[in-house]
Amino acid sequence: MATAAVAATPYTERRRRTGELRRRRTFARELLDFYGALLGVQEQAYEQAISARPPARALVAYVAEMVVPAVVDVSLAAGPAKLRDAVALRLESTDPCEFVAAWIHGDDQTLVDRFLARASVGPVLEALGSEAAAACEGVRDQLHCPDCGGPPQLSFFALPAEDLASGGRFLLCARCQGSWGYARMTCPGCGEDSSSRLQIFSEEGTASGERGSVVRGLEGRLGDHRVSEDKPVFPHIRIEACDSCRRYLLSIDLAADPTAVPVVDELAALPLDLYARERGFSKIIPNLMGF
Amino acid sequence: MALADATKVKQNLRIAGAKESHSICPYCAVGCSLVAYTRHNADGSVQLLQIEGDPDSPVNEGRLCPKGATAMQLAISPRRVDSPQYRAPGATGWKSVSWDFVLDKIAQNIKASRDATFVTTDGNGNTVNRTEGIAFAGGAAFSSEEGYFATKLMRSLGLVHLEQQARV
Repeated sequence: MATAAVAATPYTERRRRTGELRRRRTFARELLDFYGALLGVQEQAYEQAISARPPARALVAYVAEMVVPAVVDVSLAAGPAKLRDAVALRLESTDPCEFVAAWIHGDDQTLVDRFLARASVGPVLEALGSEAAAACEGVRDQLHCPDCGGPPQLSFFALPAEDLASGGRFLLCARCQGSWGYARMTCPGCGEDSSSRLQIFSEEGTASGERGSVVRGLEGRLGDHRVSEDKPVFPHIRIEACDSCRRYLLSIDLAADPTAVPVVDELAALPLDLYARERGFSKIIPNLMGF
Repeated sequence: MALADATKVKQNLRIAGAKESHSICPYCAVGCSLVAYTRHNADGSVQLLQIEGDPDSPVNEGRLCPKGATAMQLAISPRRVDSPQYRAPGATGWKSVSWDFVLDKIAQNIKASRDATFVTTDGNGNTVNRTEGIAFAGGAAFSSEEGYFATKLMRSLGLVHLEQQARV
């Protein structure tokens, strides 16, 4: 009997990148160890949902019954101490359907509720695609995911198709991992497009002029002394902040690092989150790990 | 999560504020959109760090030609010549001179060439009043107004050989 080839899922890339960053970013090792363990559970949920195909109206019950227990188990086994205690306490009194439904409805939630709901709903929505996403509540506009209405977790610049081009900007949905094109010089939180109110914070040495190249993404010599000797820690990530709504998100440039996986790199960019917070900005929505 | 390590890393990051601004490539009439990336230094100076095609522009969709892609060099290249250069007749090298000197020199040369090569009538006796010894070439970065002005000026001098480098 012929066996079907195992297709790579989005989780294959996420696992690879988590392993890479775990080695390189010692400050995020604890977080990435836990995320790596969680990815195993999420991948299983993703594959299960692809074969089970629960109907959109049964989404909450399906996630609460089939995914939440495994996410709880991995959180208790591999999560940081604070999360372990909070999860144990939470589950004594709550029906998982409540926090799963609250996340799908876009209601305010405590950190631990949101973590459990996000980690459980995410892979199922990703597996079921736009039909299930349509069952989620939320505004469908440029500031929200056109599929599920979720808020943008991060922004990324796509890899350009040719050398002398710049890739378009996309936002990645915090709820279903879908992405949509978004104007580059516009705040994803409030739509502000006046460049004098949009601040970018990046490490010195990340712009092409500082790397000695006149063309972004290409190696090349500018032929002068401007090249910085210090290697930036995050050569491909910058903080995009808005003075109008005082919010920010991280933007990952795939042209600067084609091996990056935006959702993983964003989790491991903790120092940039701390920097943005220190400047008085809050993230449009905290990531899966609550930062 | 333990934030101590991440905080330490954050303290050592050399982060600076930057802005992105829209601009338009100066080189040719296609008018490709650019995104210019500038950093504002503590001493108040502004440093241009990166220029790239604007992916949101319907004109170029993020693309630039090789000339436009290196537009940053127009502003910051240390190899740029920043004063007029003059090589005197018979001289072996160039020397830097003032704008007053070159403008006077060009005016004198135009006058001399025009006087020497001005034709009032052609072989059949028709009045033509033209300057055959000078040709003019306009640059690709000319605006319509500059092109109009240059054409008027050159025609008034009697020039008939006018060319325009309107493309890369």
